[in-house]
Amino acid sequence: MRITLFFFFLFILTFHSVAQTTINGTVLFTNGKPVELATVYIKGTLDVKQTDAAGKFTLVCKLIGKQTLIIRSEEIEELVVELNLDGSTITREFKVMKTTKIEDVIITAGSIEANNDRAVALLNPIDIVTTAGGQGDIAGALQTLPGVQRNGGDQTGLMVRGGDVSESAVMVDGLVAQNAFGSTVPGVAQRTRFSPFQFKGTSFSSGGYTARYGQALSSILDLSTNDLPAKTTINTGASFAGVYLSGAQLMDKSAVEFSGSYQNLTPFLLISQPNVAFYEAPTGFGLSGRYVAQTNTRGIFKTTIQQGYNSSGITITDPVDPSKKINFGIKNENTYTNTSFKNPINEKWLYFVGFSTSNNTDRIEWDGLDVTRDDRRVQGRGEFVYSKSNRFRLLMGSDVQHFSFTQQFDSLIGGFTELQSAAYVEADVIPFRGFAIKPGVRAEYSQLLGKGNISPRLAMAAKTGKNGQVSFASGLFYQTAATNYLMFGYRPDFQEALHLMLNYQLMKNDRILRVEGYYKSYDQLVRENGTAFTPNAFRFDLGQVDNSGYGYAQGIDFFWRDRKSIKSFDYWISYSYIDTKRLYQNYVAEATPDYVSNHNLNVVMKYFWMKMQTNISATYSYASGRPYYNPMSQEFFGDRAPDFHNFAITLSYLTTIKKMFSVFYISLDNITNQKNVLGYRYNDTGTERYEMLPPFYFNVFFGFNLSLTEFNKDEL
Amino acid sequence: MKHVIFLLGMLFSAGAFAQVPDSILTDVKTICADIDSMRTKEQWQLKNEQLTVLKEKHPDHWLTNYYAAYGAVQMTYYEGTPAEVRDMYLDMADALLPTIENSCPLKDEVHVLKAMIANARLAIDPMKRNQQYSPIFEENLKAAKAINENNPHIYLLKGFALYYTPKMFGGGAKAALPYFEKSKEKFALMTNRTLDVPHWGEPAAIWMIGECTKK
Repeated sequence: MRITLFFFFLFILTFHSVAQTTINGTVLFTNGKPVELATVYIKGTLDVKQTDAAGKFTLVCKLIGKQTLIIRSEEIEELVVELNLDGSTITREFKVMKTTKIEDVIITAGSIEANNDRAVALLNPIDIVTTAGGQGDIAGALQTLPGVQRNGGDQTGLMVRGGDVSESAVMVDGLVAQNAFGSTVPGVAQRTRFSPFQFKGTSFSSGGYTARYGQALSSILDLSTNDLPAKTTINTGASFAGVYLSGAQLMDKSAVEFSGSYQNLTPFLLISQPNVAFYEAPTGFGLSGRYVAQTNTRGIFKTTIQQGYNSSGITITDPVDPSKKINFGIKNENTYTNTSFKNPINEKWLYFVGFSTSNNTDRIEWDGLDVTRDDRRVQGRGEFVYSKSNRFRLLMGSDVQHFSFTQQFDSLIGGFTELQSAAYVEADVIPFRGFAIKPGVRAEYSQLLGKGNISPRLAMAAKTGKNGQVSFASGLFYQTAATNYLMFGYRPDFQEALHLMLNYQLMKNDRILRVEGYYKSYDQLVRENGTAFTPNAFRFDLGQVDNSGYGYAQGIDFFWRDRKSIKSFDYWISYSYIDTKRLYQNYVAEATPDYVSNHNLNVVMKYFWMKMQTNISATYSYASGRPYYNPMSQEFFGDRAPDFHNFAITLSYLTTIKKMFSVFYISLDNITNQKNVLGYRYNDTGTERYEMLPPFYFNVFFGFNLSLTEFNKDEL
Repeated sequence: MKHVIFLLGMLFSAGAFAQVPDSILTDVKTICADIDSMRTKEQWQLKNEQLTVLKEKHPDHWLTNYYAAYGAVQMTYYEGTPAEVRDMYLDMADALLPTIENSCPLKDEVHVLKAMIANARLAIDPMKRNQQYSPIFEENLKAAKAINENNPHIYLLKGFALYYTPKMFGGGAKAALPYFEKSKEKFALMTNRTLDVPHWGEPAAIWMIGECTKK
C-alpha cells in the first residue's frame, strides 16, 4: 500500500512537472505597432515561434517555475522577461524598443573609392573598364565622376575642381607615379601608362586628402595594385591598334607575372579621320614583369618593372603663331619600378616600406629643332600603423624623393635637382558610435627652395541615420612651382590651397546619392610679371616670377547611382557646377581658366543583356563652353566656346571558344559626329581666328581579348 | 588476439568519431530531422531561428554550431534579401567556424562548409567577388575531396556553382548535370544515416537533375 501511495505521489509530481503553460503574447513596439517575424522562445527549450503580422504568438511550454522568455529580431532590442509558469495560461503584451544599432561611419567627403570592398565602393575596377567613352582608361572613366572636368581630348591629365593638370598627382602603392600619363603632345590627350586590370582599388580624391600625400594642390589618384593573382593564366588580345600577351604563374604563396604589347595606330587612323594630321602614326611597345609574394604572417611583397617605348609625329598649330602649322615628333622611353612590402608585426602594429624609380626621356622634333627632356625620380617611403580595435588607428610615416629635370631646347639648356623630404602623422578615431574623426599633419622640406611647410588636415563624419551620413574634409595643401619655372632658375615659394568640403551621402540597397559642396582658396600661386599675355604654353619669356597669384573655386557636385531598380541595368548620373577664377602664370586679370567648364554632366548606363551575352554601355557627356582668349575682347578670357556634347557606346560580347573565355568589343565614340570646338586662337593682330578641335570626332575602335586558360577542367 | 583487435578497433573509432552525447543528438534530431524539406524563405526563417536556439542551448558542440552555420548560409539564398543582410548572415556563419573546426571529426565536411560560405559570398555580387571567392571555393572542395572523395556535398556544391554560372563563363545546366548525378551516386553510398554525419541535400540533387535535363 505504501509503495502504491509512493508511486501515486510520484505520478502526481511527474504529472505536475509536465503540466503545460500556454503563453499567448503580442509583441509591440513602444508606439503600439506590431512586430512581425520576431523570434520567441523559452530559454533551454527548442520550441521556437515567430510572431505573425499582428505581432501575436502562442507558445506552449512544459517547464514550470521561473523561466526566461526571449524575444528578438533584427529590428528590435532583445527583450528578456522572467515568467512564472504554473500551468495557467498567460496572456500578455510585450513592448520592445526599436534597435539603436547603426552601421559604422566612413569619411567620404572629397573621396571616391573604387575597389572591391562593398562598404565604400562607388565604382569597382570592372566599372572603369566598361564605361563607354572612357577608352578603357582609368583617367577616362574618372571624367564621368563629379568634380572632374570633362577633357575635350586636348589635355593630358586630370583637371579637378578648378585645378589644372599639374595640380593632380597619381600614386601607385603609395608612391608617386612620375609619368603616369604618356608624354604630353600639344592638343592630343594621352592615356595613362597603366591598365585598369593592374589594380584592385582606385581611390580618387577630389580634395581634402590624407596627410600621407602632398605636392598636389587639387587631387590625388591613389591606385593599389593587385595582390596574388587568382590562378595561373595566359591572356592575349588584339585590336586594330595593336596586340598584347600577358600571363601569370601562381605558385604556392607567390606569383610571377609578365606582359608584352605592341601598338600601331595606322589602321585606326585610316578609318577615324582625325582632325590633326599624323605624319607618323603612333607606335610603341611595352614590357613588364612583376613578382608578388605573401609571407606567413599575411604580409605582402610586390615588385614591378615596366619599360615602354613610344613614338609619334603630328602636325600641330604653332603655339606662337596659330596661322602656321609645325611638325611635332616625339620619341619617348620610360622605365618605372615600384617595390613595396607591407607586413604586420603583431596584432596591433604593421609596417610598410616602398621604393620606386622612374626614368623618362623625350626626344622631340619641334619644327626642325631638337628638344630633349629628361626626368628622373627616386622615392622611398616608410610607415608604421598602429590599430587598436576598429576604433583607433594611428599612421606615422616619412617619405623622401629625389627629382631631377633637364631640358635642352636647341641650344637652350635648363634643369634643376630637388630633394624633398616629408614626415606625417594621422589618426582615425571613432570616439563614439556613428562619429569618426581623422586629424593629420604633414611637414615637408624642399632642399631646392631651402624652405619647408606644415600642412594640417582634418576630416570627420557623422551618421545621420541607418543609411545616411554627413562628412567634412579640409586641409592646407602645398605644391612647388611647375617645372617650366624651376628649370630656368626661378625659385618661387610653395603655392598654397585651402580646401573645405561638406558631403552628404545616402547609400541603400545598391543605390547611392551624394551631394558635395566645396570651397577652395588658392594663394601664393606663381605669377609672371612684366610680360604680355600669350596663350602659348611653351613660352620662354617668363618675366619676373613671384607668388603674387591667387584664386578660388567653389561649386557643388551631385552623384546618383542605381544598380537596383532594373535587373542587370546600372546607371549613374553626375553633375558638377563650378565657379572659379584665378590670377596666375601670365594672366593679366583674375579669370576663369580656359580648361574649365562651369557645368559638367555625365549620364552613364550599362545593361547586361544576358540572353545575348552582351554588355551594352552608353555614356552621354555634356560640358558647357570653355573660355578662350580673344585679344579683341574687353574682358580677359571673357569669351566662351560652344558647348561640348559627346555620346559613346561600347558593346562587349562575352563567349567561350573551345572552353576559353573571350570578349569581343566595339566602341563607338561621338556617334552623332558632333563638331565640337574646344576654343579659338587668334593671330597677333586679332584679325583671324582658328578653331581648336579635339583630335577626333566620330571614331570606331574594336578588338578582342582571349583567356587561354581553360575553365576548371575539374575531373568528376 | 581477437579481443586486442576489437579493443584497438574501439579505440580507433572512438578517436575518429568522438560520440555525440545523446542529449545533444536528441535535440539535434528534434530540430534538424526535416532540414531537407525546407523550401521557402519563410520556412527557412523559422528553421534558422530554431537552429540558433539549438546552438545557444549547446553552445560548445561542433554539431549544433555546424547546423547553425548551415542555416545562416541558407538564409542568403532567397531573393529580396539585401546584400548587407546576406553578408551579415555569412559573418555569423564565419564566426561559428572556429568551434566547428576545433572539434568536428569530419574534416571534409568542414571544408565543404567553408566552400559553401565562400560560394554564398560570391553569389551576392558575382561580378565583383568572383576573383576573390572563387579560389577559396575551389580550394576547399579540392581539400574535401582529398579527405573523402565519397562526400556527396562536394559534387552537389560544384553542381550548384556551375548551374548558376553563365554559360559564357563555362557554366550552365549542361555543365552542371554530371556533378548532380555524381552527387546522387555518392548519396546512395551513405546507407546508415544519422544527423551527426551531415547528409543534407539528396532531394536537392535529385531535383536539380530534373531541372538540368528539362531543357
